[in-house]
Amino acid sequence: MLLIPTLLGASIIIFLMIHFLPGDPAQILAGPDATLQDIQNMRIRLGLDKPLPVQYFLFMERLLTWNLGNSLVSGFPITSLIVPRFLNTLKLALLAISISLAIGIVLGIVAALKRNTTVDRIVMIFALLGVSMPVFLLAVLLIVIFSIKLHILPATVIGSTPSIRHLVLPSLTLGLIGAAPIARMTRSSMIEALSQEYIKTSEAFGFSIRKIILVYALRNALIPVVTVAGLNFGYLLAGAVITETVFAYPGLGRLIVDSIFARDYPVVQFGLMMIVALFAVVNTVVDVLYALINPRVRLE
Amino acid sequence: MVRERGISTSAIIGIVVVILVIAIAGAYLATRGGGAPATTTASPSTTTTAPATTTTTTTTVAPPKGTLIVAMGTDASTLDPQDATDNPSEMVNRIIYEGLVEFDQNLNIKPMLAESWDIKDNGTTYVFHLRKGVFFQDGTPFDAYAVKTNFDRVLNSTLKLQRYSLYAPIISSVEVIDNYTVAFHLKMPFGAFLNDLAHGAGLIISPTLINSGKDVKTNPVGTGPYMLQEWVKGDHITLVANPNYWNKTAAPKFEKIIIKVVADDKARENLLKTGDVDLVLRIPPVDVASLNGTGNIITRAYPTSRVIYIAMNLMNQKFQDVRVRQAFNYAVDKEAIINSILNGLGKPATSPLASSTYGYCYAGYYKYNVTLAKELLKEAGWWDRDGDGYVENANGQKLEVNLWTPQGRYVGDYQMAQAVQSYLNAIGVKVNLQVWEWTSYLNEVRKPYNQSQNKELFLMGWAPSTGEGDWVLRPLLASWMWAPAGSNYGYYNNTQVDELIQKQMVTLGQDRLNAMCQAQKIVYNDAPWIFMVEMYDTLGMKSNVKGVVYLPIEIVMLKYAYSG
Repeated sequence: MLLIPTLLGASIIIFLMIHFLPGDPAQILAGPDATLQDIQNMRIRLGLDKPLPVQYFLFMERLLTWNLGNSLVSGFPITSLIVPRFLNTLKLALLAISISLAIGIVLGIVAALKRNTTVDRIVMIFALLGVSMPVFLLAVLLIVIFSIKLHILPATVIGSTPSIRHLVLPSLTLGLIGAAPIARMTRSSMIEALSQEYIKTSEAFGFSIRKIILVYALRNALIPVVTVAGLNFGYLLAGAVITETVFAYPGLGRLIVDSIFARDYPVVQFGLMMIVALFAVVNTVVDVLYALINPRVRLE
Repeated sequence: MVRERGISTSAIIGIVVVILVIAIAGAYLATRGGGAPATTTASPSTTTTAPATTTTTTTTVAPPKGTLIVAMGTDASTLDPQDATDNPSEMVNRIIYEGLVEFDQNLNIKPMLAESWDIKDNGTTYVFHLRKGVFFQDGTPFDAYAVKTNFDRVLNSTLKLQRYSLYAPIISSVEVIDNYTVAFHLKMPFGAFLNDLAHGAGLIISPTLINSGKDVKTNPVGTGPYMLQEWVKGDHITLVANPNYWNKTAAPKFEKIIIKVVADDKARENLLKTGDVDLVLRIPPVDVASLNGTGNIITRAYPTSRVIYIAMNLMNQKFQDVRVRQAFNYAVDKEAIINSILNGLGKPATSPLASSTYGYCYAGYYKYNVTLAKELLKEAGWWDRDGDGYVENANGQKLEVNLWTPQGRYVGDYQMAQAVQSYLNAIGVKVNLQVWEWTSYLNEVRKPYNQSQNKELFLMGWAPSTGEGDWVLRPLLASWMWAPAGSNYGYYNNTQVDELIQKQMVTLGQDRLNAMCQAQKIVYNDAPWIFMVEMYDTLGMKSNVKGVVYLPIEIVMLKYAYSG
């Protein structure tokens, strides 16, 4: 498995990247009116006076023993910061990718079947809009329509855990945007699949049109769609920072971005490691799906 | 594509359906079940769901009801007042804790946990007479020992608390005279002492908490009207009414206050429009007027003690001549900047201090005057000798300067720097504008002078957290506060100003005001900065939110809020 070296390499890159950023967490934490001594005290308190390799090994030790320690900035245990944020992100990503797949695949099939008709063009215009529309614009549009004008859905989460109601608008935002490439991909690979000879053969055998489309054609058309959806899902897990910001949604992306600005080294490092690990897992799952969809793909 | 053999019976649509079902079920379960957020529960005895009304129904006090939801841009970083250096933390701390004295909305000092005080020994001893019948939220009585425990803590250098450096140079010891009388012995007379106590670092923590060794920053216990129920870091802080609050006339009006972190300005504004929140901090100036009166929303703008300035690196040859520095000041149209960039929410700076800061006096105003600016440059030897539109000196060198600015740290910071770039261009100075991310910026401007060759002009803002002039003049302009030791980032050095700063520290009353005023005038004429603007801050709220007090030190006092 390539998983271990990938993670190891990622850990080194992540560690170095954040340490090479200009700026000093001790300085930020010490505040604007700190004296030089205040800053030095803070540096010692944070363990940033140690040499980099030592800090790296401490980081790896804490990662491997899952004893992540505390945030430099807030002093909260890092697990208590990352885990709930990650679960929130997972909910959002799952809902969003479901919406993307449902809408994208259905529209893609319809467009492929009605190729070069008005229906096809409308679907493709929708897809083009989805691909080119910035996510924050759609987010704000949805807020204006559903929260400000109609007052039927909340624009943010107030309180502890997001419920389904809170998830509707952010997941719809991400889901609609994500549906567009899936629709385009489904359409083109469906068109290709439908032109294959085995489809004609199936027709000659007298299978029902529905079975031909949904079973024989779609199955072959799905491989590239799964690839796109898998990548998209990975990005969603990494945190849809812009969407999270517009909806003030307590997800992982916002936590990591806030932590980068505050130079909260350990939160950034462990947060990113978590994302890298998940990305690797999602890729593995996608490989498994390939094999399920198309038995000719064999897992090594 | 290659032809497919062996058609299996498992329908592809089945896979799609399975994905959907798993995903939706997963999301649903995750929503219902797992994912209990990281919280800090303040006192285990607080019940979360039962209405807090039952315990407070004393004679005439109306029971607290409803929830006040507030959106602010940044989360608090610590609820330990003696370790906090940021405004969001101070804002929350001022709800949970109270100090011996408190600022009113004009930054005058008013009694809080101390009912009165005497100043003795030429201003080196302050004796406070404490209020009786006050209890901390954990039941500990408030008395002189509590005060001493607090100040002994912040003055303990081994704890390395951030506010050690605020008190350590001033306080020599704290003495308990009797249960309700406490004396502060100072190392020298210090004019700003009461302001230092009204400062966010002077809020009094429960001595039981301090002695317990528990982490104060996440387990705050004060004497204030609301106490911490839950803190989901980076998302929200929930405070609940303190049923045993000592001051029945200022008893908490809400059952809960939820402070939600919403980083994006537009998102905060939207939440006010949707009605999700009741009060929003910092509405962008451009929207203040249009939002006011939309539905039930009102907006307010408040003058603050923050002055935005563009400092010059005085160790750089280009800024040696005071005429050049003054020319730069005359070249910038402050009023136009305020009107076009800040939508009128600000006023030109007429001193290093803002006019709401204690000790301010009018020091002068470099009113926009291009002709005068060009004349001053010419007197200093800079004029357009070769007709290319830029000024040169006798050696044919052009006057070219770097201008650095953060973006998004202060309202309109980058836009102001852009405006200054074009104003300086208009008098023949070539300006290279560079935008910095805040953390890197702070790191760069704080460097000592021998590592700061490229630092020439740089935009900064300062608001004294004590609300008075010492905390502007001393850290920003005293020669012993040159970066990196202090915040004198432009290396300003004037012996006369140094002496006046020392004098205002150890004098009281009118003598102190005179010294501060003189210092302001000298600095103004020396023009070590381009004096820009006094900033205003903005709030947006539902029209039924009343009692919100705004302190010019950029602190919103939420504890007096009520719904009316």
